[in-house]
Amino acid sequence: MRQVLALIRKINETITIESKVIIGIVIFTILVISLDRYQLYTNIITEFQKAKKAQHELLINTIAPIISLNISLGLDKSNRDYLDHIAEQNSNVKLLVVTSAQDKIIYSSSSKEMGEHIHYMTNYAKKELFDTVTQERLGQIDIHFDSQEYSKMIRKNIFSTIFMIMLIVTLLSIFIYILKKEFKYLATLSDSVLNYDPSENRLNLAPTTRKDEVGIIHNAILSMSIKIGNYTQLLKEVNISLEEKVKERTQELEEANKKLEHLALNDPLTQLPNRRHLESYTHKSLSFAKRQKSLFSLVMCDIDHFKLVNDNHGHISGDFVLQELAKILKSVVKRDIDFIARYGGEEFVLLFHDTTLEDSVKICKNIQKKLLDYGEFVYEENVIGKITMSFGVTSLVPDSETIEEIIELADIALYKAKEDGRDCIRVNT
Amino acid sequence: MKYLNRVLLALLLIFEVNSLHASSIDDDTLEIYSKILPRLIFMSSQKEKIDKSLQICILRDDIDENSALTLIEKVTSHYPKGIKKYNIEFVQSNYTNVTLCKQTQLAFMFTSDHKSFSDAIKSLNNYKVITMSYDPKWLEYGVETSLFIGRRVMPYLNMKALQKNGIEFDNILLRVSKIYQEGVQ
Repeated sequence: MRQVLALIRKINETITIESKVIIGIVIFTILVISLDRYQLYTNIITEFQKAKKAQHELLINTIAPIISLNISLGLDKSNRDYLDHIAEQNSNVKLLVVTSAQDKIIYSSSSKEMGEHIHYMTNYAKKELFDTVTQERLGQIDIHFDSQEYSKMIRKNIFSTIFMIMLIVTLLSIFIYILKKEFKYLATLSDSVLNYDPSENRLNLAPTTRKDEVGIIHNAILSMSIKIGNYTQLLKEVNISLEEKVKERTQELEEANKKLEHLALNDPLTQLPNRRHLESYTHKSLSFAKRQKSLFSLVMCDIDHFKLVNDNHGHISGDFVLQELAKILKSVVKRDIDFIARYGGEEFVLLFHDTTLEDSVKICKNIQKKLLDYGEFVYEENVIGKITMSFGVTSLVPDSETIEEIIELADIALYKAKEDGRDCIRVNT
Repeated sequence: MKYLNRVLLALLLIFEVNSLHASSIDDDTLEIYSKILPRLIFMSSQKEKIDKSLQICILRDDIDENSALTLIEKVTSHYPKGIKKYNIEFVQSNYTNVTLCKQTQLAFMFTSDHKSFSDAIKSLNNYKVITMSYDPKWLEYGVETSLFIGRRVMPYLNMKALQKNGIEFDNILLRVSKIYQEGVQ
């Protein structure tokens, strides 16, 4: 049995669904044909029965009047001869019995009794005998015909039908078993596909050796899962690469922003905060100083005769002077809380927190000294000469002025220094 | 005495001759005829001639009178109440009074001399009466029916005579009868 099931399984895996469907249709057709054949054969038997019955009826209807006449005419010997002749000529007549009106047997073709003979309509016929003249009942004639042919037909039909039905039932059982297995396999396949997680790329399927469509689909799903796995891996790598690129770009953007901000707030030539930065810073510083009630000094300084430098030595040389001067200012003003800005052209502003006016003047003097120590400015073997600066200093207690007023005060002081011959420091309080 | 002896011898010869006619009548055969006779009328076109009763004429020589009576007794015995509600009546006559059979449907004829028999047949044919002879040999001389007695016993029909006289029988009777053919016994 196990071997048979293994063989069926192997066949099931080998033949295609199309062939299985065809086999199913063929089995079903055989079933229909078998039932039809059984019905047809039954009809033939029925017709055979009718024909036989008609034949028997014809025989009995033919001989009954003759027998009746012979009896009524008293021709007993003639009657016996006639009945013997009938029984002899009709080989299918098994027994022919004539009984009198008193049910006494007056003729029997055989000495044997039929016993419990089954009176099929096909193999038995009887007819009452009547006097042709007086219509009196004379008796009855019973003819038993051979039923072997009929029984053989019935047996053959039943046997062949049972055989066909058993064969079909067996084939259908196998077919249903195969279908059930097929659907179970498909359900398992479907579950595996539904439970498939592309992120993990884990498919609970092993390659199959089946050759049919289900096998092809099975292996196609496996192949597809491998492809999905590959693409998922590729996507992961692309994602990582993109993230890195985004991070890089963000960093670059931040740096660019910083540069932009630096460019927006600083003078590109001297790398010192520009006027916009100064305005923002001085507002904050003034607010802070007002809150802390601390000292706040502002110096506005300007390069003396800077126009002559530009005119005589060119703007590049002028720019060089500005850059060098910025370095000098940075070298003097070292505290983090102090602030240097290029106010515009050759003007610079210095902010000092917690610094008195005197200390501010000292810082300005230090700057003058640095300039003096620097000596002549030389740009690419072009001697520009010595550079001096004028300073306007103011130092005010907060709460009394705005930053614009303070700058204006420092600017007035600077103007005075310019009027007083330049290279000097003037204070405006 | 010598004359007396001659007379006795003559009487003896006459008796012997007559006894030859009478000796051929068989009781069993009469039994069969007694059953057939009335039915034969009903199975023929003669049934149309039946009025109130069946009329059967029995022709015989004097020597067969007893046989004729026996036949009548047998018929009466078989059909005590007649047949199909009809009584059966007999006319018994010798061959000289055939006219008595004129109204009957069937005439049963015992054996007689050739001339008387032939004359009777002619008359009976004219009367359209079915003729039936005890001895089938008379079929040769125009009798219409008799009884064939061979291995089987069956009605013996002279179709030629029946057709000539316009007598018809039911088909079923033809199936159980032997048909007489001239020259073949």
